[in-house]
Amino acid sequence: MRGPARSGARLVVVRAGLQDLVVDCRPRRALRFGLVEGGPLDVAALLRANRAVGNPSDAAGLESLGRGPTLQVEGGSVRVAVTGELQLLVDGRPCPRGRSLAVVAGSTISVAASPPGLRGWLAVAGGLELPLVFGSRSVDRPGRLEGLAGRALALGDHLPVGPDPGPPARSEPPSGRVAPPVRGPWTLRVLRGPQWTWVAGEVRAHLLSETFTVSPQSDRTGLRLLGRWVVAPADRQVSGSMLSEGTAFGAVQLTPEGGPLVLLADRGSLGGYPKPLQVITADAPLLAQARPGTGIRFRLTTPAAARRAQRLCLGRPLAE
Amino acid sequence: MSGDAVAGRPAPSARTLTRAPPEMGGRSWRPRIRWVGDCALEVAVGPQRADLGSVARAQRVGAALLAAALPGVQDVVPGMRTVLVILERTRPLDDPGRIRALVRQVADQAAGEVRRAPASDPPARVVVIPVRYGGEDGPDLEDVACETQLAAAEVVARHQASEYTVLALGFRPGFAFLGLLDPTLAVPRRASPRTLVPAGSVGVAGRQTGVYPCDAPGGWRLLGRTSVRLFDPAAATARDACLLRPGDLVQFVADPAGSVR
Repeated sequence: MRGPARSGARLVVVRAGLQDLVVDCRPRRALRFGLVEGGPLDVAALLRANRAVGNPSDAAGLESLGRGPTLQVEGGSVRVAVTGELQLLVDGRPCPRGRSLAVVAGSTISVAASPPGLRGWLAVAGGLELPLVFGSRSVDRPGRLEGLAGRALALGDHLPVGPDPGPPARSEPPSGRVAPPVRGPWTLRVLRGPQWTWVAGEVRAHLLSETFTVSPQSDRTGLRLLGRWVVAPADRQVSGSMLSEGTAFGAVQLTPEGGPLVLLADRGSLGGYPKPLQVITADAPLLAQARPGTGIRFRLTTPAAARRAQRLCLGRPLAE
Repeated sequence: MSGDAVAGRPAPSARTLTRAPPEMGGRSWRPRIRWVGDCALEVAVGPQRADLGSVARAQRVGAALLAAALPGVQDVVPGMRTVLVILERTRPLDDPGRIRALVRQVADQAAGEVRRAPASDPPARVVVIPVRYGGEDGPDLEDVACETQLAAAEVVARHQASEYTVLALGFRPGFAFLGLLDPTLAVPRRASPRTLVPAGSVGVAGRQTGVYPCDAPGGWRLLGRTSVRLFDPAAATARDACLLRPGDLVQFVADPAGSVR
């Protein structure tokens, strides 16, 4: 039996993508119990997709990686929007990104890779009306929560859609989309991290001059970077004496294996390795799009510049 | 110690007792606050060394910051000597000085209360966890015995001899970092972590021990396994789902169903 908050429309997975995850911007506030922060890797992109279809900011959508899912619309028509770097296709025809599109029952929506990007976000008007698990619909795969809160979409999954709130009343401000560079290494802006002074000067200089390469062993836990050895033997002892502390999204952690690891939404809530750099929040969209082989450089910026960039990223005017 | 109280959950034979709270390490320490990137604040409540007083202060200050429900705060993560206050990434931070001042105010007040009235804490719970040591359940017991130059039965005896404090939860839902392990049992993590440690495995690493609540990759040395459920995904809240909470005391006992080789 349907609950009162459903429209009757649903999306049925007729082909699962590489990794399709239900995400929303409702924090679970449970890092202290060992759950992940979770949610979209690019918060601003899911917000833009939700805004485009007129959803509240906490509506649940999908995050897809590379080849996304093919979804059949059943039980009524829906309006959808895709943001990020994936291509939306309705019945096989490519559609523009970032705009609301009506899709009638019986049609299929698919989401396809669009290099050099890696991830995209799909919002549906009314949101995905899946059960809240500990206050959020976002997936926590490491924690193996129940149902779609613990795993990626699979063939045959039914995603109920909430009542369509109607299109947004006013047109949206210009999108804050950060297009990843097609050529050359990507520059990520960083601030000094909590253990900046813990690592040797030559290690800091190296971190800020080396061009790293994203390892295939990267996932939503973190972006593993390959490069020349960065941890001097003396610094390895430092990491042994550090007490575990909460870690922030975008922290650049030095692991004993040597390479930097940029911590993302599914990172462990506590970490005991030094974090000499912290990627600014406005560059999270690039972290979400970096694929194996992408070149990465770090450039120091200032907290004030980081905040200005974040305002732009969220699509807000500079002066408020 | 007060009388036995059975844990209010279906977990098999995890007994819960209560007793007076542990000493807080009453030295005064004014919280130090700094930015971590542009979207988090760190509150340091103790020196950079293992110290149960710092752990308790971090818990206190963390609880106060959560209860204060400050605007723009997404989550609060107490660590071993710090509390990380994570700000929302869904809206820009218009007045960074203001949120820092609010965090400072709450942290100072909570730290002051710890100094003044440590005895106001509720009594610590003692959770008893039966473990099947060795064999397939504890594949690293023999290696740990070898490295520590102790008999396997002695490793087991020493693992059971201490009562551990829940220092923090993290890594996986309901995973508790328990300390401090007998220094004679302190061994490093495995050089290459296992890709799958089964749920219920009881591991040690350095001066800490813990129980894997779900299947997960991991590098801790596995001494045994328990059937006690540490996380109940069907619970109403994440807090209720966790068997162990920071400040609880944990006692490992031999499960009569298992035997030491």
